[in-house]
Amino acid sequence: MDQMIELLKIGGLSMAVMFMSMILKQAGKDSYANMVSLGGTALILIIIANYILQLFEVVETMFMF
Amino acid sequence: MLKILGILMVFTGCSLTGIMIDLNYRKRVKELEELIYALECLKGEISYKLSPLQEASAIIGQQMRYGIGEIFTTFAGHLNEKSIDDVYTLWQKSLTSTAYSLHFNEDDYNKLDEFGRGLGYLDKHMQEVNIELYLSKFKNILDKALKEQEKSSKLRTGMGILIGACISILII
Repeated sequence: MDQMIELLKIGGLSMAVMFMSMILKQAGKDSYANMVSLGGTALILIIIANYILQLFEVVETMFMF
Repeated sequence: MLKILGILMVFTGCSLTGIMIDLNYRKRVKELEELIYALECLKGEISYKLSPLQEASAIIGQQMRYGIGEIFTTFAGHLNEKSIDDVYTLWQKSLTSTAYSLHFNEDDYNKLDEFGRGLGYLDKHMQEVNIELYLSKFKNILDKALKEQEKSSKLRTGMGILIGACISILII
């Protein structure tokens, strides 16, 4: 259930960041749009960092005999 | 329950901030339009009705809306008191007491302040020239403001709502 919520969170955040970037580009503020996209990506990476770490641990255990 | 309440408050707060900022810009455009109309009327009063500055300002003050009329009414009041001879100082006094409640930016206020320098200086022709000069300047400012509003109106509202949504998602 928690993972599902996290997944929805990431989806929602990426949608919001995408719309923000679109609106900024339409207003002619391309540099801000890039910064928002970059910030959004970093934020999502921070959220999923823990899961990536877990994945690495699982992969690591697969190769341990 | 408290979390949901907090999320709702953050989302509404951010959205309302975006909408309010956009409304302020819209009000600025309306006030600029009214100011241009006021200057046209002032020109008419001085050129065709040959009214003295105090009388013309009082009439315009009664006609105008959005706080623009207040500047001219206060200015006419100051002129009526005749406490200082310098018209520019009286204009500045009326500007500081009224205009800062308007939604103009620093550049608009500077232009309004400069406009006062030519007020009441020399003859009728000089008044007309001064008013025409600042009419064209304010028309340019209005054109720029309209273009900017067209471009950024969606941006301000949209960003407010989306930033609210982002924070709400992060709080969940």
